[in-house]
Amino acid sequence: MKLAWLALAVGALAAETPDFATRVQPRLVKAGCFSGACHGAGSGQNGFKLSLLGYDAEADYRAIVYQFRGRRVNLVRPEDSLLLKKATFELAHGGGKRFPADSETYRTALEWLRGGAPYESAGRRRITALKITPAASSAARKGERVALRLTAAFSDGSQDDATAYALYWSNDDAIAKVDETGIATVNGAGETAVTARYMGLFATARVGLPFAGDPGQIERATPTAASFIDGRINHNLRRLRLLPSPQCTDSEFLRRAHLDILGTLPTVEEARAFLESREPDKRRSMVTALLERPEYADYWSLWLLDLFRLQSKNIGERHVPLFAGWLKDQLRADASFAQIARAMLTSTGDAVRTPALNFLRANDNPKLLGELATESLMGSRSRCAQCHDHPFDSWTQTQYHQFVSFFVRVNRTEDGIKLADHGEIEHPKTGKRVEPGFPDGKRAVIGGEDRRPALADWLVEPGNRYFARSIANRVWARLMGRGLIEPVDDLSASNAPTNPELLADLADFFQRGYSLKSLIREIANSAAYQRSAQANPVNAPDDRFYSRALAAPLGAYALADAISQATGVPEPFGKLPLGVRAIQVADSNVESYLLDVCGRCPREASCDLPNAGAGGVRQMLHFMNGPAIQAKIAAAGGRLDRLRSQKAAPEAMVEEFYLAALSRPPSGPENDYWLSRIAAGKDPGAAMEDLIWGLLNSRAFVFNR
Amino acid sequence: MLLLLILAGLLAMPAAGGDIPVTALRFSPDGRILAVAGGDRVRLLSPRGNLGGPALPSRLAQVFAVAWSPDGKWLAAGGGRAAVMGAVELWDVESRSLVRTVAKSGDLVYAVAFSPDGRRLVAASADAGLRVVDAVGGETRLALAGHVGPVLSVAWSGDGRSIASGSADRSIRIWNADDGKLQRALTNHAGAVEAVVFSPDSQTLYSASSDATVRVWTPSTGRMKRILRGYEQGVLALDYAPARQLLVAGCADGAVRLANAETGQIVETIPAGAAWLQAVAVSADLDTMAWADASGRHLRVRRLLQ
Repeated sequence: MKLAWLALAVGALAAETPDFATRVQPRLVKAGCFSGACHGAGSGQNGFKLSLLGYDAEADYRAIVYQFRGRRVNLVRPEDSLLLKKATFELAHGGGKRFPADSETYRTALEWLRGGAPYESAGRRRITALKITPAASSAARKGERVALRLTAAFSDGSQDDATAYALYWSNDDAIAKVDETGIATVNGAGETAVTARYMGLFATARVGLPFAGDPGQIERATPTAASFIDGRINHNLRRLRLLPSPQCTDSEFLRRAHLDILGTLPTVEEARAFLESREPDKRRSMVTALLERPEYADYWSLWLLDLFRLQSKNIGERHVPLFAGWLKDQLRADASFAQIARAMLTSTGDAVRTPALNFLRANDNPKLLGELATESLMGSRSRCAQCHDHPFDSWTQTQYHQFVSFFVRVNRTEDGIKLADHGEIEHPKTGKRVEPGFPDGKRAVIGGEDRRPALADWLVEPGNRYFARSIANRVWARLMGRGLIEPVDDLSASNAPTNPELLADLADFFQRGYSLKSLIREIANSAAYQRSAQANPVNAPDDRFYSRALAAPLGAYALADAISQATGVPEPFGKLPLGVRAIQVADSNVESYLLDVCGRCPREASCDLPNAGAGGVRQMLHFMNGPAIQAKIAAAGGRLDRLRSQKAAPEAMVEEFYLAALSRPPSGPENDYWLSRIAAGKDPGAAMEDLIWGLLNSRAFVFNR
Repeated sequence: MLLLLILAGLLAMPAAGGDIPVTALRFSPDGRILAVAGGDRVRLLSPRGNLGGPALPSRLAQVFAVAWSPDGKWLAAGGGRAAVMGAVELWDVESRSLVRTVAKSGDLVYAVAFSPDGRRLVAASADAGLRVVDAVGGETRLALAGHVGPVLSVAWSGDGRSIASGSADRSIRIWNADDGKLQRALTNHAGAVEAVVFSPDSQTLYSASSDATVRVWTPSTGRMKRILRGYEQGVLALDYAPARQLLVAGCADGAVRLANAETGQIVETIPAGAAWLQAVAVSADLDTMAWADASGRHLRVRRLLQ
């Protein structure tokens, strides 16, 4: 009888006492105790270490309740606990006052201590979902406030209002800023993601203010779309009252498509032919034709070489061209991108016979290989999770090591890859062997000694949320000037896409056959791709909803070739034969001052940052004053020299340089200006050189739009 | 005979409305009384199960350490209020009266030990200091400075010449007990040194650490003789049974592990609750050991070997 009474009493106590794992710790996280600047730092603060943002609740509980004989809690006089005294600044605390004694956080912690400081409730509940409401909100005016509400659902069916205890941030404060209580204040037109983090889960709401576009005008400018891409984008434009820019001109499209698909300017002859063509579907025809040209494989293989960070100093000088050649073959044949990834991940043997395996030869450290695979093939940054659960993504430390476990038996040799019959990775905390596993929680079924095929199967299987999404987003970013998720190597749980429905559709489309050409074709044929870069008064501030074309500086390879092509003077690259184009220089270690000035990717680390390929001020100064352009303008055998020797008329010369550099003829005023300068000057040649210098230093030349 | 006691009445302290973690256990020299520290009190129990009356009315907010004088007449209780004060209370056991409060410091006292002659005691504190006190007069004789982190453990060698201290700074320091000079610093542990224990002949020092090892040292030379592994997690408490040559360890995974002190081989693992186990004690005379976990729910006593 006594026992039964005791059991009842304990049950009642347990029901009323807050637990550490789901009640106390989230509040302390909110108070900042677990931040990287406080006790969540790698080595803690003042001998007291907690996990970063509370990812390891059990270890945190031990640190608070047990460590140093339990000095931080006083279960006899809970209000005397060091935990409370420090946090309320009753005792000196380097972190200052974290919460007052009349706060709900204080009361919860005190109740927890009074109840014996249990780790978890009798029901042992686990968080299962996080919901934010309203999921999307559209303000009527600047300054309007949106109160977000966050609800956490638990395994026992219970729900907590987590609004006051989550961490919040906005992807763009200029559009909406969110405070620590979850109230977002709208600051400007547009839409941004506001993300909440609570107990390691994330929830995202869209908060925004429509632009000032006229709905009727926007409706007319966004007709029913044939392409799923335009369907999704137009929906956003109408919703956000964003008036899109009109379609770009033929010459703009010609230059844009050539640079994006081939990394190459159209020739003067190609430009003339395209501009004069009356074929109604000439843009679509051109895209199809471009994808069959050899430059396509040259140019897109460079993107992959940069992405995979293949360097001769790592894999050997002779292997870079072999790997590049293999990549070009795959791209030219439009081989399934899934097969390309599988070959790179799973090949073994000799690197000459099987160049694909060079992907695994980029590094002989399995951790770095795992990180390279996640960053380049999954668009995901796992590196943080080597030391702790990722604070802003779903990667746990265990999942990091499970992923690395796929690579621990991969051994780089002088000329290939061998698979060891043993080799394991240990969890740094437990010291125990970590079996291979996937970051989405799926169990890896290893068929034989080689673990890698299971990884490749998982990566490309339908529904995999990493591979197709990340490649589709990268391709979209290359063609559209901005990824649906930026940065493109951070497809994390806390980094919401600007158009999630479109990204999902793109990934589905890509996954149907993993055809890179089809994906490029679909995007290049969309109305969104073919918009003018010229902004209207409504869409000038828009840089993420594709209401206008977003200009990006030309990458190093395309820019170097563009200069050579416009001037008609080839650029030497190391010891390669003169005439080899920049987009054919597979090895990033080939000597080229021009490519360095133009900002080529050194392949030491990710070059995924926006404008990573641009040379910036250094490039600008060099172009204005250095030999890269000056020496080519009047070089013997160059375009100007040839036109002079042909005694071409000034009009023809001006037109040819405009077509060569900008893929369009000069406008009337441009033509009049240069012709008058040539006619008036004592030295017509100098005026022509000025023209070429001006063209090559113009924004129109060094940008792709 | 197995003596298994679950002393719920002791630990479910109504003043706190919950269970109080046991922070220290010590058998009296004759093995007749078990001192149990937890929360703000020290209970004196008979290992045969008879409650030993009310708790000593300590004035310390929290008690973290207990030590018996060699004659068993006095009990030293160390503790204090975290980040505010630390001290050692000397109790006359028979009369249950407080003799005096000594070794006052600015932070908790984590460990305390008597000299073999019972005339001095040493207190180890969270302020990184050690204080050697005249047990009879109460004066502080020596202040041992050198640790750079909280001092968690302390032991007085059987020959009375040395004091060993273990700290959260991962070091063990051996001090001359007469003049307080540092004799050597042993810096091989990779985690906080949670416990130090001398063998009765003073020729061997055992240290337990949160790095999940027990290490065996020759204190006179500072040489580490052996690393004992096989502890799944940190070792938070340690005592030594010389007749059996057994080391009794309380571990962070809640288990008690008995190891052969010579070979290091773990001869028995006694699984316990989920909470840390930071209090173990051995009574050499009774061939008995006791342990209690940090949940405060379980205190158990049994023969060393069964």
